[in-house]
Amino acid sequence: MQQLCLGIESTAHTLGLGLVDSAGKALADVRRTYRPTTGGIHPREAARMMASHAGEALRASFSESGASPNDLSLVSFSQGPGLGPCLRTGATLARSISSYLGVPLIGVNHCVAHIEVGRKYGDSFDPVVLYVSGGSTQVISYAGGFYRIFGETEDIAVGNLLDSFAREAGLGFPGGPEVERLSSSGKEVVDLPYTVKGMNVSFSGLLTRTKGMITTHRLEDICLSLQETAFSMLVEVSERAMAFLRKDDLLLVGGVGVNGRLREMCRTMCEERGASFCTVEPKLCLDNGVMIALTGILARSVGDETPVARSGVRPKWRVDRTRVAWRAGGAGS
Amino acid sequence: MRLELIRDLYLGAEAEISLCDWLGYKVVVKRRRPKGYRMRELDRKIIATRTTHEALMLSRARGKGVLTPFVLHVNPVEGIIVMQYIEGPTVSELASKSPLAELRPVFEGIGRSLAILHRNRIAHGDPTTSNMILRGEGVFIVDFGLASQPSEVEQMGEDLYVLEMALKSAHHARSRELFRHFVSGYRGELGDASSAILKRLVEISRRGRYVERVS
Repeated sequence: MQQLCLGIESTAHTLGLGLVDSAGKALADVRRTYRPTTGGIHPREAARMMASHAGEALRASFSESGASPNDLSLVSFSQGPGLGPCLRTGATLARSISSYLGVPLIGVNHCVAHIEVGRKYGDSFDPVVLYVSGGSTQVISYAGGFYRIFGETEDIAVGNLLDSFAREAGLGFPGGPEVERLSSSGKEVVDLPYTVKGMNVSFSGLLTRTKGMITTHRLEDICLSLQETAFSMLVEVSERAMAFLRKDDLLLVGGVGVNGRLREMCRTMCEERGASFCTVEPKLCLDNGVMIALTGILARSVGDETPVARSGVRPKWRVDRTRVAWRAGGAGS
Repeated sequence: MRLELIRDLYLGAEAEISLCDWLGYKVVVKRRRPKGYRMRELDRKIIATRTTHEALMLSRARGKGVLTPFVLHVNPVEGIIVMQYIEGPTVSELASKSPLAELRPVFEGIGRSLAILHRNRIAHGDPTTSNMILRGEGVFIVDFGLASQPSEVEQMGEDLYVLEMALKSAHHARSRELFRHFVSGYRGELGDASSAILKRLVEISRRGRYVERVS
């Protein structure tokens, strides 16, 4: 039966509404992004922006797709992990649409959604996943019914590292794109803390050191050194996981995945070890509703449903606590 | 220095390990390969630092009475460590098939070796059974690439955790018994200081990210 799923993403700064059909085709991708005037994301302010744009964005997604609300067979939403107020706003929207139209509701793990959209549109079946964003830095792979975490940051996420540094240097939010732009004019790579422990990484030392260099070094050189050091750490642990798991695909997903230098480094590593590098277009690396809708379709295909009584948000929901039944029977199951 | 390749032993994510002939001796050569994704100066620095550090850890451990291969030559620029070849089966190969009675002294010995490392605040970082080689009566510990000194209770607890998980995954049926022998050797050598580390092991096992979920 042809399905149409509305996916609602609202974990951090972006309210994303996506419409996806059962073939996995995206019919609408509407985003409303909160931009703080100063500092980082203020959760309550971000949630307020989402609530005030919800109705208008919803109308926009239906007009973009040409579908009508009555065509919906399913509503999925980001149940976690993320910022509480933002998650609750998206969940409220999802519950009301689901109960109004009488269609099933599905709570989706945000990180699983990043992986699934990567597998679908990045054409990768059973990859080692490098998931990098403002709030997450993990090396993940599927085994026995779950996406398991083989390596992760022991302190802050890589996106958080770039954002915090950028804020300190007066580069605005989000910091990643500006750091990348400045790094291309960098000339000298400065010695910075490089912390890899097995398949884990740690970035706090790197942040402290680079913050302290803002007045003593060229900003372009700091940006270059910061990127080179942090990304080398990420690529190294990804390679270690690939060797350990004997998997020959690397999939890069999450907001920091839009960074051109990180993509280049991942590709080089894969080429050197005869593996293949997969990723999705930058737009789909960022938070969006399409990935939530796509995961909703997958979950529904194995009969999943989230009753309203169990649809409370899970701000700290880890990816390895999420059953991915639709992959059972496939590779690694 | 003339090294002639006899055969490749192992290709890891970071280094290649091969058996070579060096002045008529059989030696093991561990070479960290340059990585094209890293900028050259950063790559050189990482390779040099790790090579030197690993050689140092191997020698320090040996100095404290733990059996490790002799380091014969180190070239941080090329990322090469030339070390003694330890001929023998890995504990991983033995642990599944040898009679338990024979494995008992082996695991007690591993317990004593790890206790000596920990007393000297060296954590191995990756003490799996494939990094232990039995030659004659003694167990040699190899691959100090992830070793740290000075280490804290946390890293020592992680050592025990890594070993326990390796036993559980590779030698499931006998893992409890083997680990018990290990702990008896470990506790016997380290004494009271072992309590805090064994306690930390329990804590580490309970942490969410480490908990194995049966599906």
